[in-house]
Amino acid sequence: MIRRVLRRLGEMPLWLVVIGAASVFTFGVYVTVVWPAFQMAPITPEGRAHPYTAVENTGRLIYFREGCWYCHTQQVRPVAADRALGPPALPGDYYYDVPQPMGTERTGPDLFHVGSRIPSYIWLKDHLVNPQKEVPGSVMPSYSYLSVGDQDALVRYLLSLR
Amino acid sequence: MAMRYITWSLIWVAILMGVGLVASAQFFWPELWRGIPYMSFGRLRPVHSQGILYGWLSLAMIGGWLYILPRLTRSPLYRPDIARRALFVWNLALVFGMLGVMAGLTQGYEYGDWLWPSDILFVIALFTLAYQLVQSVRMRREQTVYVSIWYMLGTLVWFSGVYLIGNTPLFSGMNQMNVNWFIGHSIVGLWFTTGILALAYYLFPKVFGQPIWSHRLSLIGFWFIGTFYIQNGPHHLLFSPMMYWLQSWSIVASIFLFIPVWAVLANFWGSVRGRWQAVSTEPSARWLLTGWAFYFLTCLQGPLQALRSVNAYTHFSHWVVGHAHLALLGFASAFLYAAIYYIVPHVAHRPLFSRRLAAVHYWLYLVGTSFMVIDLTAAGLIQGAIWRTGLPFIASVIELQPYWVLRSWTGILVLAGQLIMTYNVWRTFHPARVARPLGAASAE
Repeated sequence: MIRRVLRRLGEMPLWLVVIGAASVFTFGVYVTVVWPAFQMAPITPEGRAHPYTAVENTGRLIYFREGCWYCHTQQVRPVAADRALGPPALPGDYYYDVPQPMGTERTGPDLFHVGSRIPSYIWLKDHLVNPQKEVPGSVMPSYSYLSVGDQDALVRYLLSLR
Repeated sequence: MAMRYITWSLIWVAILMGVGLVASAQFFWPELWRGIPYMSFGRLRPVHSQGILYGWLSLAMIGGWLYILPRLTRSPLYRPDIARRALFVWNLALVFGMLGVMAGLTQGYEYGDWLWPSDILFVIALFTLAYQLVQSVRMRREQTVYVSIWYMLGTLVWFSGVYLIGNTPLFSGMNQMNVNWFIGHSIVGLWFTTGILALAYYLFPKVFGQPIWSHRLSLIGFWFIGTFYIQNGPHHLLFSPMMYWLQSWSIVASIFLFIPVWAVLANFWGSVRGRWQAVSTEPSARWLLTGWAFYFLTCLQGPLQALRSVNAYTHFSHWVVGHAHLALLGFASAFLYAAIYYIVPHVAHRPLFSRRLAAVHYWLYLVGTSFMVIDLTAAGLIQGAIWRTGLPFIASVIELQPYWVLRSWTGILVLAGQLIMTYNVWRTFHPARVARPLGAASAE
């Protein structure tokens, strides 16, 4: 039986291979993208989610423009490593986020609740310009090249992450 | 036409490995480019990561396809001018994307970092190329369809879908994260893996002089890869607020990948068995064996790190960076080097300029890549350990210093090997016209 199926498989005409390939692909997309999209449709803002003010939003876009998210995550997980970082993330936490800021690497510390962990405007701003002075051993690049307005917006965005 | 793509891929890879090296230096020398926004790490990283995907791996792979396709169909390529124009558009997309992120234009989306104009250019190039390749297959004179053609057509179908869906700007929040990893994982799974396996299925029998071991096994691999790779994306979201069933299902789909991977590995082994002498006669043989080994390691590590218990320890750490380099610099690049070292003498109609330089490239690459992966994996395990102790976060940064320095050294080895290869390929096409001075080292 299996042998027969395999022989048939090898004799498929090419157009059927293409249709077959498209079919298994569509099935995979349905299961892992479309279906989840329907399930996530009713998500409402919760946790730290809040509409960003104009200046926070400017800061948020700078956060992406400068690629901060390549080294900083914004995702607290219910695992041992994240115990000190505050309550774990909820689906609605990211309600207002496009692009999403969850990140993939934690070269620098997680910033999910940075606004409550480090609620100091002055410290965050000084750290942005002189990371090594504020945190000896840090490898963060200096963002002294940002304009004063950009630095202000970025810090206000960080403070809004609570 | 194949050589045009390969030439451009060699130009891009030298630049982009250099960018990676420059970016990596900032880990132990953060003041390096102080005050220069374009060189800041957050802007260079997407140049390196996206650039290697679309500048080096994609162009070299398409170059390989354009070489093997006429041989598998026993008929010339359909309208070679399409490939030439697509290459121009592709390069335009690369230049725009890279300069764009350096100037601060980004979509803020891993593996979709570059701004939409470059997406559109890529889509135009990809679809015209797909049209050309499909037409070439339709006009084939050889009636037996070899499995490489299956893989090539499957790859075109899958990646077109992946690219279009993955770059659709319709999603937000958690949903966008899901789509992000749908494309992030599928670029590797259904573009590079399947596309490069098409080349490997051609190269193993050719280089080792033994026909494909089992045609049926290759087809089993084809259908399992197509069915399960596409469902792997959410395993990047373990312990996130993503639905639990989706995380679990993606783990199951990851484990399923053992089937096609081992089918492919066993099949290639069938061509190698008893033909080891090829290693001493064919420069690309050792690259194929190395790619085989790296593919085995990548696909052993991949499903294992998708398990929750392992993931809780390794996620977000440099372990993942190590895995990415094992897959793309290890598996994918080794097979592409095999393809290039095989194709160049055939296209140039003369032997490779220097087998010794090819060997030097190989060993620089092997030592560099192996130590890079070991180094990053160890660094990742250390990060994972420190995060669990509750020490201040900076402890995990300070502890990694020596590993970052070593990582850059391994990068220098890989880049040096790459430049040697470029020189070797160039000299194969442009042999010296003047007679060698007496006593100069012969190039074998």
